[in-house]
Amino acid sequence: MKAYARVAVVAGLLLAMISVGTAMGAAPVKIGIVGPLSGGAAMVGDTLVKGAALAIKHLNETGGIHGRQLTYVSEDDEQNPAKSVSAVNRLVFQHKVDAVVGTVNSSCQLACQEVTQRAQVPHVTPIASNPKVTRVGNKWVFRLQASDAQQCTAIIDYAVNVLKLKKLALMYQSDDYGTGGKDVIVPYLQEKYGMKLIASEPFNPDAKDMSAQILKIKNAGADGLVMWTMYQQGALIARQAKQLALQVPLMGGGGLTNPKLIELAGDAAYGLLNTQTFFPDPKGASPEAAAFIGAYQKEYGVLPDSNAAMSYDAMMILGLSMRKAGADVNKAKVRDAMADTKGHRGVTGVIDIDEYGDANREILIIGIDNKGAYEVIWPKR
Amino acid sequence: MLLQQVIQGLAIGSVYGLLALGYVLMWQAWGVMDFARGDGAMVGAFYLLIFSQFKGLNIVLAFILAVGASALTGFVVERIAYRPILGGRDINRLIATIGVGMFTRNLYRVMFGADPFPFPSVFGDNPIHVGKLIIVPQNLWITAIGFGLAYLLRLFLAKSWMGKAMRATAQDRETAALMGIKVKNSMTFTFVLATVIGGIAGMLIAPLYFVMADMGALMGIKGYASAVLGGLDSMSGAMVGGLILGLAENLAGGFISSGYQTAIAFLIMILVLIFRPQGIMGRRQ
Repeated sequence: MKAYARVAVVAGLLLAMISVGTAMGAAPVKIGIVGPLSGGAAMVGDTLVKGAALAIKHLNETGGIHGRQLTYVSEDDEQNPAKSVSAVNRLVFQHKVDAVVGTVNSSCQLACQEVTQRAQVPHVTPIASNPKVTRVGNKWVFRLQASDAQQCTAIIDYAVNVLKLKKLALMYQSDDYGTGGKDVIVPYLQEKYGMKLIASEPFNPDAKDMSAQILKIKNAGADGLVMWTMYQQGALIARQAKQLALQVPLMGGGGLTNPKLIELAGDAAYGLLNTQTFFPDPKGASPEAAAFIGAYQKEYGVLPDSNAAMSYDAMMILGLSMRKAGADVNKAKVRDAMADTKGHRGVTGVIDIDEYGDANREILIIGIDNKGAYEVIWPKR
Repeated sequence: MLLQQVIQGLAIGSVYGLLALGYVLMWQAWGVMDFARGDGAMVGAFYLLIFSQFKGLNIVLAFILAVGASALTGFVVERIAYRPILGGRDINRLIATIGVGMFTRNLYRVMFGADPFPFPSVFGDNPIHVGKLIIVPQNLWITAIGFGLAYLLRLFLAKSWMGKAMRATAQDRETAALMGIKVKNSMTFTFVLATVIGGIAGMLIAPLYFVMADMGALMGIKGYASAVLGGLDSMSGAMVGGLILGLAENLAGGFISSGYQTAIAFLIMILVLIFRPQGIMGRRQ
């Protein structure tokens, strides 16, 4: 009996210590970060952790969560859906995190967010862009990355409202990415502006000779060409359009952003426009973005890319929602606060979380100047 | 519009024709469908890239060196991968060509990465306007060199002693040997020639396709289709097949639907094979 009594006393003391600790605000709030920390996408995983870590540092410097400090643990998913599930299992059940940030790959995201959904833990992914992520009825998941649909409508708005183009043509690669873009652009142009594409030309993702499409577009009298493709095909189109004297503005989505495009297309790429959510150009940046670029550079010695910025914003919104939810960081309250996010001045723009958990914001338009360097074109500052 | 599409089609078609010539040469001399042809073209394009861009040599000198390097590569590959199984079963030899193609492609991917390299258009990018027509000098040169080369090859095979030996070997290896032709040398020479012609096709297309390790796959398919279309036993058929494929792709893309561009080109091929299985210029067996 004596032994039992001793155990009970020790247990009671321990319990008391824990509860006192909580009341004093000493126990940290734990964030779990999941991402590809090794393998082919390790660079992206690295920037994901760096962006979130910087946000945690800034949140702690401004008082943490009602006096409680934020800490984080990271787990590697190796860009493998099965491993992403076990990584998030470890975060949730072993490390007992209060919320999860990550991951990168959309297939991994779709797999691992089921764990947080069942455990009812708020989960925000900075980078995964597949529309499905927020459309599977999972109330616990939020996404910072602009989906392809948002990018399509942004470039169309820019073409019609700012460039005043009236006869837009489209070239798209005939796969999920390209036709996905076309399926957004065609109805959007019709419903919002009552316009039809003057030409809509698909091409194989491995096509090299685009002259048939370009000549057709030129003959149709297009005054602007939207291309929904990746940088390599974008470079081919830019070069062949120049050769065939199709002298109209060329524009597209984030898939075109790559210095390799400029290398491949040369001066044919000058003036090309595409959408982007973040670009490390301190001159054209918003005050929030400029501050972030400076802080990131000071912390890590390199310029942040859009993934780092997404990750920073994701963690910031999560942290601010935790503050709104109160010192006990009740998970359901944190989730509700995240869903209510409106007008958050993030580094990737002014962010509203929509009914699906997607971050809506003004999308940037970046362009290639006459020296072959990217610059932010829109919004003007 | 029609004429414009035709001009584009001619240029790309002449390159397809050169690629098809490689298939025809190999089919005739070696009796094998050589699926490494496209990758041979890729290697040629890389040699030109290395000599003219990486080493900064004058383009003509770089071209000569690249042709030489292609020839040497052809010689080595023949010794390592083709010669040893000359007496083997057809299916084994076919698989060997696929293996050589895969090996080459991945070797270049490891050496140069998967990203494409830009290649400046040597003949100038600035289009010449003739009325409403736009002529890109590069396309004119590609067409001219493509047909010029095909013509030279024809002359060589018809007039030169070596060419006659090659044709004799292709017709009947044993009889040619009895006539005192060094059959093995003749076959080696054919292989080197096929590699060089394919390599030149790769060099011609480099400014249009960019240069990358994976470019051979697409080029191989186009060359193969052209060769089958024109007839595997006909040199002029190869060029005709290339032209038809190039024109069909461009006209289909321009006037029917670019979504079906490739499909229409292959539909034509299927129709030809149904009604003329030996190819357009091929002889009935």
